[in-house]
Amino acid sequence: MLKVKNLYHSYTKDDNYAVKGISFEIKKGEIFGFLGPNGAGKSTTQKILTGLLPLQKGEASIAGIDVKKPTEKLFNLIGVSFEHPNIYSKLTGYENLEFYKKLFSVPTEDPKVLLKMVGLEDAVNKKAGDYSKGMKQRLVFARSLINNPQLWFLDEPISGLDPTTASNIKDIIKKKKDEGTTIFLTTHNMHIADELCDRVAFINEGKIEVIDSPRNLKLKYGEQLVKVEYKENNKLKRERLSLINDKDRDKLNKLVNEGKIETIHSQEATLEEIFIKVTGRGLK
Amino acid sequence: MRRILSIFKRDILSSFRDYIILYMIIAPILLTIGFRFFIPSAQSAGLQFAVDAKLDTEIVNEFKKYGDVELYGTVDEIKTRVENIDDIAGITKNENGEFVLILQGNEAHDTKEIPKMIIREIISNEDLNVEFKVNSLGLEESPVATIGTISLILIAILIGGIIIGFNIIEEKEANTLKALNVTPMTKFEYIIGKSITGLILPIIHVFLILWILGITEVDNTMVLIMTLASSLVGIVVGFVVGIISSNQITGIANMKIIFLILSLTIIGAILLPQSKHFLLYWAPPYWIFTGFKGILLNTATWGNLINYIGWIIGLTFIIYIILRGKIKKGLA
Ligand SMILES: Nc1ncnc2c1ncn2[C@@H]1O[C@H](COP(=O)(O)OP(=O)(O)OP(=O)(O)O)[C@@H](O)[C@H]1O
Ligand SMILES: [Mg+2]
Repeated sequence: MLKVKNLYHSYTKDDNYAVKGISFEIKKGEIFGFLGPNGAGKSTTQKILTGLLPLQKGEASIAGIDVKKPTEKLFNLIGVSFEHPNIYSKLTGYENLEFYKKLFSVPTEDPKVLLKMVGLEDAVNKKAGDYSKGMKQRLVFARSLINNPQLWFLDEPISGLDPTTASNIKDIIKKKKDEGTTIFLTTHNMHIADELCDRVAFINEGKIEVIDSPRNLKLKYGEQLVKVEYKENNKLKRERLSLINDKDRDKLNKLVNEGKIETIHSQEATLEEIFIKVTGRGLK
Repeated sequence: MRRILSIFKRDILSSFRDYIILYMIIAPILLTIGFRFFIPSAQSAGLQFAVDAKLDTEIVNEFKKYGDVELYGTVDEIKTRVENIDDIAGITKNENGEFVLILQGNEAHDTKEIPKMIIREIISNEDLNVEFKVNSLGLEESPVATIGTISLILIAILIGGIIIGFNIIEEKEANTLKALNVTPMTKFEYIIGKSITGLILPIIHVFLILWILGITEVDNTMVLIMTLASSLVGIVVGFVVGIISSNQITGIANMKIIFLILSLTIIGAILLPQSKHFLLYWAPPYWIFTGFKGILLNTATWGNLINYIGWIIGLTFIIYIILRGKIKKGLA
């Protein structure tokens, strides 16, 4: 569905690359997580793929269409949900979607159905400028579905939403995946990535460090962790120790030998920890 | 085409819900209504006479040749009529059988002078040896009326453009352009869609202005064509204002600068002797001014008009070429 090969981008048009030779492929029907800290180059990559930034160097194609020469067909088959809500504040939620709908030349969804789906049925005729932040975000999310996209770009779709709404949005994403939509999900949120994504790419300083399924990553980096609770100077201490790291192993041996351990569990690493391990830096 | 119309319809819908833009749409109409009170004569299509009913039918008929005649029984009634807001000259005879002209004092030149000529003609039985067009509305004799009307038209044309600018500012502030750029909509469709507002509003405004001022004896086709050509200037100005202004406040500031340039051109056109007018040839508003002046005074030929329009389109095109890169970049 999406093929990216050796993608570079420099905002200053010199050797100062924000994206440095990124390559990956997304298969049809897959949810692909694009994870990385602030400034890693996630948005830059997404902007190139959606035509908002020119493709300077490298190759990218969506459903076989070269992103360098975007056609009407290409825009008809992608949907983009923006992180920062960008809507017409003097138009109602319904009018926003109705206007957007007319820009596409493929069969489109009914705005009312979409608004109901994201829980905005009571705000259909309210000016979007008067929506709360979370409502605006859901409006943008709903808008990105108006043309029934085959490749759906989502940028932080859940951040800032309350738990119930967030879970509703996650359900919609899963449902769309089941219907065969390919999804490119950009996020900092490792839990969401873990829950939704078939595969994730860790991007750091403009480079992809690793691409794999969350499960494989955990098997590879996670199973050799143990969580121990032990007493030291009459104080309870908790620590996570790796079974492959020599220093950690020595410490664990010492704790076992000294008989200080109170509880011990093998621990699955979170994606976040794996990320730190792989990139040497945190996500935030 | 469907996309172009959607963009136009959205702009109009949004504009009518924006307090500042709505005000800008109404402003030219309010200004025109206000202006109407300064040029009472413009209200009537021709000259008006309040004639004493006791005068001979021949005399009354003579006045009817040059304008509308209302008959009144007494001198007091004539005086009351003359004191009304519009321009009308009262005509009666005194006890000695001499003609008496009753005027309020603020009448346009024609309202004062033409009855005198008619009376002279009646007395001397000579043909009226003066070229007088019933449709002149006093515009020829009243530079204030002419310049005022053209200024209103110019304001209306620029406002059409400024409204485009403000809609672009809104898109920039809300970042909605990004959302549009990931749809099949092309930049060309966007620019054309936005431009329609700058074409349609001025047409409505200009004809409303002429109608409110009672200026009906002009070539409407000429007015239409001249308005359309002039709107191009407004549209380019609108896009430039939209692209260089980051919010409504700077938008208003930039608009003021443009109105200043516009005013200077018009003042130049009024004050400079004809031989120095070439100094203003670079300014599209000068050609708009000249064109509308010719149309309003019924002196412009189609040849003149094509010449003016050529200048307007040519200059606008040059400005567009210079700013094209900036406009395209500003809409990315
Ligand atoms: N318009 C721009 N002009 C110049 N540099 C930019 C621009 N946008 C982003 N950058 C730079 O490019 C790099 C990558 O930024 P990008 O926005 O892609 O990061 P990101 O991964 O999306 O971060 P975040 O999680 O904060 O959204 C950063 O160093 C940033 O400063
Ligand atoms: Mg980003």
